[in-house]
Amino acid sequence: MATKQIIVLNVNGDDHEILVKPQQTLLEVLRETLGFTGTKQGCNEGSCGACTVLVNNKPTLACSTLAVAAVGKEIMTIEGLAGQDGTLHPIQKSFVENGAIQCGFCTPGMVMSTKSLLDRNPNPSEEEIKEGLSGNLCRCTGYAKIIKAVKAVAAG
Amino acid sequence: MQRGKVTGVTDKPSEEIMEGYSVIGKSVPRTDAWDKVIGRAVYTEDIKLPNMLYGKILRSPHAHARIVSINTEKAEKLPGVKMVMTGKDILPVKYGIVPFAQDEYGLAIDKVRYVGDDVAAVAAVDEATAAEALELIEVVYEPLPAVFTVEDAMKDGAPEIHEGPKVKNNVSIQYRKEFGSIDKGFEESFHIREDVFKTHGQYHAPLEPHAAIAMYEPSGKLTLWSSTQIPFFLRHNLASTLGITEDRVRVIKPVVGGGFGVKIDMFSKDFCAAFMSMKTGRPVKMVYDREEALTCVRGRHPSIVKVRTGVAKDGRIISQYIDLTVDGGAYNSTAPLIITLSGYFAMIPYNIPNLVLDAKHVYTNKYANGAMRGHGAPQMRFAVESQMDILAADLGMDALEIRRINALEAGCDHPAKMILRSCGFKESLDLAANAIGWKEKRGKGNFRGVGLGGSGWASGVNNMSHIGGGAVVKLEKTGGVTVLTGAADIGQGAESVIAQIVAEELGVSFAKVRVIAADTDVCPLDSGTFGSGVTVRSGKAAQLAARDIKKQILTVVAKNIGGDPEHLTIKDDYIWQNGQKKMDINKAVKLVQYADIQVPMIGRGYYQLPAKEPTTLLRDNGDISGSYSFGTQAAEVEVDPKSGRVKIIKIVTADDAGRALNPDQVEGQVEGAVMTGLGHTLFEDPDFDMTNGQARSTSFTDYKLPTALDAPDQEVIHIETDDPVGPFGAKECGEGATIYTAPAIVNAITDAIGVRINDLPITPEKILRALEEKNNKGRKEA
Amino acid sequence: MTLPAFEYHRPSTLSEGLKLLKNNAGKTRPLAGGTDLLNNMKVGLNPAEVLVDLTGIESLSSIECAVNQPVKVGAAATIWDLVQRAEVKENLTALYQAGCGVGAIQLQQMGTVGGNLCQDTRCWFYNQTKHWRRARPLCYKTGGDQCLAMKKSERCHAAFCSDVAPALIAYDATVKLSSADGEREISLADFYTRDGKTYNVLQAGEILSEITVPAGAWQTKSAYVKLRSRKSIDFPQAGVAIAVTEEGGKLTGGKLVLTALGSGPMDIKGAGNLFKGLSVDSLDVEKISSLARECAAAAANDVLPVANMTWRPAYRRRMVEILIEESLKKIFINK
Repeated sequence: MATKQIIVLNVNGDDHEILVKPQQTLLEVLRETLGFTGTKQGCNEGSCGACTVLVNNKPTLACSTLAVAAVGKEIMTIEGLAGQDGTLHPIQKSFVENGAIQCGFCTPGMVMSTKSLLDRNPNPSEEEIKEGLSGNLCRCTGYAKIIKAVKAVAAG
Repeated sequence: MQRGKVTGVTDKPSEEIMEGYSVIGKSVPRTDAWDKVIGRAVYTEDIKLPNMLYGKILRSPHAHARIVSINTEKAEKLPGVKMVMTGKDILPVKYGIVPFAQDEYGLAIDKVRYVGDDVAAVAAVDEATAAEALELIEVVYEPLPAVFTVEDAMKDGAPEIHEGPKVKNNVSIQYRKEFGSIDKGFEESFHIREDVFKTHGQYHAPLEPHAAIAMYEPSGKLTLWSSTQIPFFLRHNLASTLGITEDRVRVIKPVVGGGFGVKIDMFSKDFCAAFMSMKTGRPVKMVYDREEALTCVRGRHPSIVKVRTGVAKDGRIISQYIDLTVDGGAYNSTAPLIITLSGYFAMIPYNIPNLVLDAKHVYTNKYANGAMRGHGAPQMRFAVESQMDILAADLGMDALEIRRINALEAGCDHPAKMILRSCGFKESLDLAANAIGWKEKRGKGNFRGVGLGGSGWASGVNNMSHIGGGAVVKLEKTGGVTVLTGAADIGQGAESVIAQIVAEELGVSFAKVRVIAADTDVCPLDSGTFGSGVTVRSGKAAQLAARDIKKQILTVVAKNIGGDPEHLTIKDDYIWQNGQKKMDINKAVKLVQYADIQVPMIGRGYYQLPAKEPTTLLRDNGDISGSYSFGTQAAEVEVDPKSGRVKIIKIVTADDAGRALNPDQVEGQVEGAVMTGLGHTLFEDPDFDMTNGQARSTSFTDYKLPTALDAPDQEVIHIETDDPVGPFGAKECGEGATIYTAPAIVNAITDAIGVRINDLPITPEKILRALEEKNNKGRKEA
Repeated sequence: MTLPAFEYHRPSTLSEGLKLLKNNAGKTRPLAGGTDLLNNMKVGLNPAEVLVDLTGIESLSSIECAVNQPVKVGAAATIWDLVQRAEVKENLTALYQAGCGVGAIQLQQMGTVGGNLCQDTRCWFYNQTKHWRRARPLCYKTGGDQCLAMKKSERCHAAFCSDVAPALIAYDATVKLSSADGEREISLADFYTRDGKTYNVLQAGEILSEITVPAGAWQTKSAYVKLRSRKSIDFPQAGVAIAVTEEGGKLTGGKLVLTALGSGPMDIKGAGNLFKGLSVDSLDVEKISSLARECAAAAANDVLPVANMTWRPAYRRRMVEILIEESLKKIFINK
């Protein structure tokens, strides 16, 4: 049966050699094994977006991805977004300045989805922003300030 | 999305009020925003302790059953399992929110009362092993007849969900509120109208699932990290159910990912983690799965509200009789509170000279309901605000006008002796109506409509024994300021607002203030986050503590530079005398240090709203809070008559939350509250299966939280009143705005389609049915 | 919730993959995007001891897509990669609209076309945790002898909720089914059985490996409309795909395919004749309404929604006509 295996995951530019079971999700491994707890577990069933990370630049639900299937890919979590010197990414800065954060639990996933959206569409309309974030649930903000923050950063 | 506007309705123009403040009234970014946006904020689920075990709960598959036996032997033998516990292992001590209504054990003893009730718990080396162990626990149940509706539960001969002399026909709490004379009032009425309204359940659904970690140390000290809204109350409940004294329990609230009321109660994850940590000597972590965090915690109470109202010819309400029945589910939780709060918010925001409220809380074999954003008021306001529109139509009046005529005002002689020191309700009616385009759009039909809903909400609930909060403000040698508060930030920004209050009161810059909160060993007692009381109560305590230390500093400085300390003040990090900068704060701190007075430099504050003893919740007339928010929402909708689908075009909220200490945060509270109300009105539904009381929506796939694409255009209008009770004039803003979303939307739908639906949620199917009935009726009449 | 233990293989060639599937037949499942399978497995559904990850097989991720040529899509190509191509967006409208209707962006970017076509059927008695299901008897789909949604029925009524399948069927797409013992090509419509439990014709060890959209699809005008509670995340509670062909201002034929209204997608046989011969210019709002009514009548016998999702069967049934009307409006009026 399911034997443990040593794999190398590239997270935020660094290689991590770890021992995993095949049934471990990327979310579990990021959080429990590697300590990237910025990626949140909201539902663990692929419906809330809180665990969104970028895998080869694609917005990916870490709860619905096996860690073993992420070998050889570039994984980016919320911890990898700010600069080495701690400067916030413009998206992060905009979230902070526009009151887009309340409880903060959806924030990392929301920021990663925003990154993905702006990477493929630097000037989204309001409707496109809503679409880009529609896989990320938020119970606190009613989305208004989040949409405002994305608009602000897109406008540069 | 519109920017909020500041509209002054006090005697001073708002610009003048704001002029004097450095940080109050400014939308400074939250103190925790940086940590949260880089993923470094630590939630309970993120904490890992050395040698930690993982716990899981076994839950009942029966809605109502006697537990005949539980065999844990096989589970205990599974490698990796360190402990299995059942109700037999624990003290038979009940707990609950309100002392006289406590009816829950840490784990079920003898009986289970809903599908999902907590039966046993396991601690193992990892989550998978704990889950496997649950499968090996053998429970023999003797199923009992169960009831899933309040109607069935109240029938004679219905199964007794909780035995005992206190409960008859499953009515666990009853309450009658009466003032004036309704009989006389109805006699005097020109027109009387009776309608029945029904509301359904709702999950709070914060994105962070419930979690707890317990660590018991050989010294006898128990520490619990928990996603809780009330650390001190959790400490109390834990100590009493574990049979230890409160001083041996330390509760720490890490960052909490939303609550909305569902993290007020103690849950088995708290109790069992603590119990098993004490027995095993190892830390135990428990995180609820999404299904548990929806269906095994608390929800909003479904309700049936009958309203009979008598009005004068001009629309004045003369008499009102309300019969309220709420579906409590399997346990009381906040039972006395939900029905009394419903009652209090039947008395606001209109002047009702004669009123009787008969309210019942009824047990059913479904998950228990508890406090949820607005707690009882959304049910009541949906009914009464819907009926206001009906009454207006009956009288041939404008729905805005009937509200204006009945609106309460500041300083009024309230029939139930509530004291309204500030009240922007009337203004909110006009502002919301104008912003939605009431005059142009109301009554135009053609499947587009506008509607209004209004309410008020308490800034903390005081009329139920001692609810207070303390604060300590420490001045550090380097000029930094540390605030200790028991307030529990669950995402609403309590810590940040308290930092703003302290910075303003003490005259130091916002960046210098650090808040340490919600740790029962470190922070002063606080009654926690519920009833929207945090800013007023804990904020005021922090303000008083800042004032205390300011006085100490200024006394020393006055000695040094001469003059009366009363004529000194601190602002923007400087000591000022008669409008002149005298010295910077760091120098003043140094002076205090060299003055050989007591160190550390500490200011203390405590604030409690006036309260009576013993608890007067269910009896007296009077005030339930020190101040009340008021507001009106206006909705514009479009209905597709073919599919019955509703499009919410815009929602305007005109909100009197006193002074907005942080306008962006107030706006954020309102915008979030609106979406919670919108979801409840249209598509959020636990969807109970009436064959066994199970909720069918158990995941974020099936339970439909609104998404970004469902967000309508929102406009938030702040009505600035300067309330004398709260710090810097603030009132509540967390819950009020969710209360009147349903009636605003439903009244708008009625305006659009010309027919009314009295039971939530408003599904497309109901709209089609209503339209059909209307057409059939029209045909018959023709 | 954790995943049960399983063995994991990530073959790099199709033949290697098919061999793994054959050798483990009966206890294996192919894994692609994972959005359906893994989340089902977490709650104890879709048991498997061996998962064969198809996403490492390069040939299965390829997309050949040029206007007026047959479109060949590897089963493991993502929905996003297919539908976001400019040619698809502009010409194969129903496919584009169906792809954009799937879950949310993350699910479109992770989910594969083959995975979407092979997704498990859904039912509120089935898509629940183990604990939830324990409160009731087993159903056909979980190994019992009854349907909990439709008492006394002889079969499982779980609903087929793919958005992409009806669009592809409307274009007469075919699928290649491959196993270690060979391959066969069948129409996508024939891939489904309309039984909630055994909802497609895949044999043990066999996978859906490639989808072909015939060149004729480029000449169609098409649309897909889904009924959902929210504007995102939701599965369809009813869905309609329509593709019509036109020559010289007259419709020469067309297809109407429904989803989420039964245990398989439904290709409504009588619809083509209803479209045939209609003059495009004559299709104003009123004509579209009556055409939609006729189409819905033609579909009436095939539609079998049962009480196993949020909205009630009667409403979903009633909405068929409305969704057809909306689709036709998209094609002929709003364009």
